[in-house]
Amino acid sequence: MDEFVAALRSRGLLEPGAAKRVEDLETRAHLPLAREIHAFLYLGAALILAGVGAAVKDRLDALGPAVILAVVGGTASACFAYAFRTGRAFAPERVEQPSAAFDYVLYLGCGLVGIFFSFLEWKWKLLGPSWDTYLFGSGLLFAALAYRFDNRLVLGAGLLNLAGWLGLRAARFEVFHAPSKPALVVYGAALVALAFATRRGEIKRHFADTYLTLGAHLGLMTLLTGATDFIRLEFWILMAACAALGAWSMAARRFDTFAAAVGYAYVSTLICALHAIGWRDFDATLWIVLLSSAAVLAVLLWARARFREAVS
Amino acid sequence: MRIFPDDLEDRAYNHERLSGWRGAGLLGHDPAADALAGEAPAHAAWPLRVLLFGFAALALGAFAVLALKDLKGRVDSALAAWLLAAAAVASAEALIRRLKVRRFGAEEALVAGAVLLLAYGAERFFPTGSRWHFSTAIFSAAAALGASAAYLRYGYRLASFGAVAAMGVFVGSLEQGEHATRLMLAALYAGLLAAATWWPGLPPRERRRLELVRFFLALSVPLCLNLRLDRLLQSWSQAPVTGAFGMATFAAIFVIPAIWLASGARERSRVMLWAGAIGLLVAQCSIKPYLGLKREPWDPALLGLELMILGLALKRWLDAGTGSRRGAFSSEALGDPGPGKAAGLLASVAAASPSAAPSGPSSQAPKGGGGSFGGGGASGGF
Repeated sequence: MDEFVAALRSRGLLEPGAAKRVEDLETRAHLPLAREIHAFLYLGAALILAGVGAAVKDRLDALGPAVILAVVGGTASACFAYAFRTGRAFAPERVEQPSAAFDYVLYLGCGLVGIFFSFLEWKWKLLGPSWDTYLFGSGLLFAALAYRFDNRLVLGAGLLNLAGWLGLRAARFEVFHAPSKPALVVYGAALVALAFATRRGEIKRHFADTYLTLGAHLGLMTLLTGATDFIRLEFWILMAACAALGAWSMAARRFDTFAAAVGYAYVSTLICALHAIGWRDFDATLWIVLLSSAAVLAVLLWARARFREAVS
Repeated sequence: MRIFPDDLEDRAYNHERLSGWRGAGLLGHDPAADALAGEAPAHAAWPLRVLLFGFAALALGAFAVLALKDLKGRVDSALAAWLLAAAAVASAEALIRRLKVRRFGAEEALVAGAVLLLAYGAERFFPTGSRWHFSTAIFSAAAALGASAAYLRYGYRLASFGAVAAMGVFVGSLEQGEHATRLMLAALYAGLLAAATWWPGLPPRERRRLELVRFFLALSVPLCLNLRLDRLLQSWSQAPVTGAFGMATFAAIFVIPAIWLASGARERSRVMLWAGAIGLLVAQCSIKPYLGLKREPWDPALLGLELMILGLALKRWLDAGTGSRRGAFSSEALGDPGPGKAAGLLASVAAASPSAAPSGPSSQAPKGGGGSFGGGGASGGF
């Protein structure tokens, strides 16, 4: 037996059963292939959606609308029928899926619904200028299905559809100069708030990371596109948001969000500084890059004790 | 040679293993286990490591450009680059010794920068005239030597990748014609794979560190021989590959991954299984370009269906074995094998297509994101 495993076992830190399993994994007497199976299934579902989308687009004339709608709609229905027939009952906590393929079949069904509605609208323009209602409807549908069947992949797709709908819808009101940006920033902040609420709540607490990741990146990225000058409000909102996210990440030891906060703040500051000097002075640009990188580096190294426990 | 003593490497290895076992749900978070493994060397979580690497690389890059950009003479440039390389290595060593860091990103960037500066200096030092491939040969040979030395000294995986890539560029710069170059590259990578697999006396932690390199080496061998690799994503018909060499490579891109797959099954090596499976997938996608056949838009869907069936058949076959196992293999999930935390990212990647941000209904012919509806987003136009 491996020396370290034996030491853990002799001190009672590993149960004999667990020690045997660890030893089997270390000596490759046991090689679980669950990740490989999931990778096959995810890649398979993504490729099917890509292929169906391409076939619908390129072979529209040859296949005919009835065939397309029947095949795409029928397959999507079959996916949902499978999900409702075999899916376990709703529970507020994490639910183990009935089969390895379950998550991906549901994801495939949702993707096919997207293709179905896209084709329907393109062909007959049923909703006309309000076609983005499809995005809203499918976003809500996917979010509901995600909760019903405990599927974070479908939740991510639903949240992205809602972001798309919100961006397009806000652009029509033209209240602000670029009205979709404030809407998306607010949406990102709402997702982050939802992440905290989910973490503290009782329903699907493991969805919190999906909300947080999507919300933080969506909000910060939208702010970054407008933060091109030190005098712009977007820059200072971005700085405040990055500072808040960074402080929370340090406290919660969430190093992925900490890295995102530092990254967005740095890129934005660099863009504004280069904008201030006019982008043309190559030497000054290099000095700004050098000094700013060195400063951030020094701060991160100085704070390394804080990250010491962050073993990857 | 290695800057980190064996004891520290052992402790780091044991902490990595503890982290893996905890992720697989085999071990609780008892601090006594960490205490038994010894004091953990300071290394940053991967997002911070990337951040530190990036900032250090930016700072070093900007400083190097500032120092080198106005130097006209080749020898002056070479000497200045080597001086900078030496300073970068000295800084990395000081960081490691003073701050007791092991994998913190910043010192890794300094070492990587030093290797590039060494190679740049070598290229500047030797007059190459107008022969660009001679420049490339000198640069890549120096980079390969520097990266190999960096791997021996620091054990950075990135250095081993750098050495492998630089050796490949060196072989390419020899200008021996396409066929000979492909054969030489395949032979080089196969030789390196054999060395990484059977090098005598390597401790288990070193073998584990080289696993990822073995994967890329194994995958590179059939890819180097694939004459249609650059046309995999093109849909129109190509001239078919003809001739003995072409047919031999056609066979090789199937046979070699199959050998990796068999070897992975025999050795119970996950990386070789991956290299074989991906190699066979690429080979299957190369059939039509090799034979000059036109691609159909539904080809990806058929491939996707095949993958899903394959995944389910594999699971069923494994589950049907004695004790839900077939030899050493099982479909048992340790930890969370599904999309997990990456769910948002995977959905974003799949949805990051023109179909996710449509421009509204149009009376024109359908256009845009064909083949990329993956995010499940409805849209008003294709």
